[in-house]
Amino acid sequence: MTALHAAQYWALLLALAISLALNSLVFSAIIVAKLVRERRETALAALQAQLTDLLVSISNADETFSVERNRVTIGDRVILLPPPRGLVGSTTRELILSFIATLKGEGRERLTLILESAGYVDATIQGLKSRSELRRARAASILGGIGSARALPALTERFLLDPSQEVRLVAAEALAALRDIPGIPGALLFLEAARQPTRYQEARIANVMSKFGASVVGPLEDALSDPDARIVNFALDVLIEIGLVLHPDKVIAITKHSSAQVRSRAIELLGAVGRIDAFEPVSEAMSDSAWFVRLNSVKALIAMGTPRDEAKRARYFRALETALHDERWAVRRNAAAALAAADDKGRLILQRALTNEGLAALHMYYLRRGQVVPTIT
Amino acid sequence: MVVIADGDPVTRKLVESVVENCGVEVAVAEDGEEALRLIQAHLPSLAVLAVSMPLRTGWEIGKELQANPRTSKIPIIFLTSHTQEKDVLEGFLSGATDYLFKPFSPSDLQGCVQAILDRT
Repeated sequence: MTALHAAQYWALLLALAISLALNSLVFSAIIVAKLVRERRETALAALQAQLTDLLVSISNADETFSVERNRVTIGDRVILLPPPRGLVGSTTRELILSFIATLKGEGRERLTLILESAGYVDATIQGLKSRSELRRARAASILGGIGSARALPALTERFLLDPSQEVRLVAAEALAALRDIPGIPGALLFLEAARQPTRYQEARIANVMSKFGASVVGPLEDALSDPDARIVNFALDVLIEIGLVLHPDKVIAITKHSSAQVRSRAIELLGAVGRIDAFEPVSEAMSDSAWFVRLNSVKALIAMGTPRDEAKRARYFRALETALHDERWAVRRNAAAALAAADDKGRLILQRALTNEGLAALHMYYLRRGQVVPTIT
Repeated sequence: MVVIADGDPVTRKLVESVVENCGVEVAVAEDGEEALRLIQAHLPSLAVLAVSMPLRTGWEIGKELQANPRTSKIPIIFLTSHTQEKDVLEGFLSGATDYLFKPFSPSDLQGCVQAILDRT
């Protein structure tokens, strides 16, 4: 019994000793890790400070500048950039990227050249081949930020062939960021958009396409006759964003589309580009069964301005007067604003209409805003 | 003196370097409150302000400067990524002498700063 107690006693002591040893080991490891982290952060902060000064000088076009591999000379100063790997490499790249995002002109070109010369662009292009979807998307995004033409083939390949939809989309955004460089045809981007399942992704592609400007207007106008209303709406979104129509007849044709959303966007587009030759279909849309089509019709008429032609002028005011009695408040309010902003004839129509009992609310709207409708003398 | 205020350290550093090249003293603020305090204390020849900043926006500062006869004549350049027409309009309504977009060219900014300093 006594022997057993002694054995238990020694076992307890041993366990205590092991526990103490383990605790000190863990504690020491924590201290060492903290010291290493602090030293690394100090080194990174020093590197950032040194680089920031250098980058400010590089951004100044008056300073002489040259770069050979990772050796950058600015004025009489020379700095060797770290290799594009690990924490130091990524910190350097991020800092240079933040300067690129802030600058334009020669300073920005110099920074892109540095990233190309010191191997940062090639290292990031390698990232496009990663097995991880997240890394490929990140690499594509960084390459868009750097703006190096060297990344164009690899980005185009990702855009066309990557199995991940998100990577294809980020690659398209990166290509749009490189829009000064002749790249992929705009029509390809449009086809890509048709493969996007969500409205959010469509909107991102629409944003990308709009940056290509006039070059994509043709394929977009062709898409207006697509049997899928979703595609037509998408094409209208981009055309509105670009603000250009080359063949208004193709847009006018869809002001009678079976989808009210398409009709509404078509009218909005005609108003956005201010096509006075589209006056007829726009004013006809004032009698559309969907209130938001009528609203866009009023807004488009405002954008087109009062026609000079007498017959059109009469129809213009008649359409707005009809809109003043619309069942929807938004339509009435916009029609009133259009008449108030028009010439004396418009203001006279508005003033007469406001005396009607049915338009009291509209009158109140003007009074609340402190905008009394002008009196015609 | 020129007061510079921007929440982004890279932009602050770049603008500071550009303005120093014009041969004037510079005071730098990291947020809107500090910027307003510096402007009211030093009555600078020019303020280069970001629009989006912690504590106070550039537009708020502009309106506050305009409302005070001591500071209403201080020229303001807004340097911002708010590039829509309504933003530019808001900038000028807040007392902007000039309204520059980010990303910016240092030489454009220097020309703009120099022209305003020459006038004042």
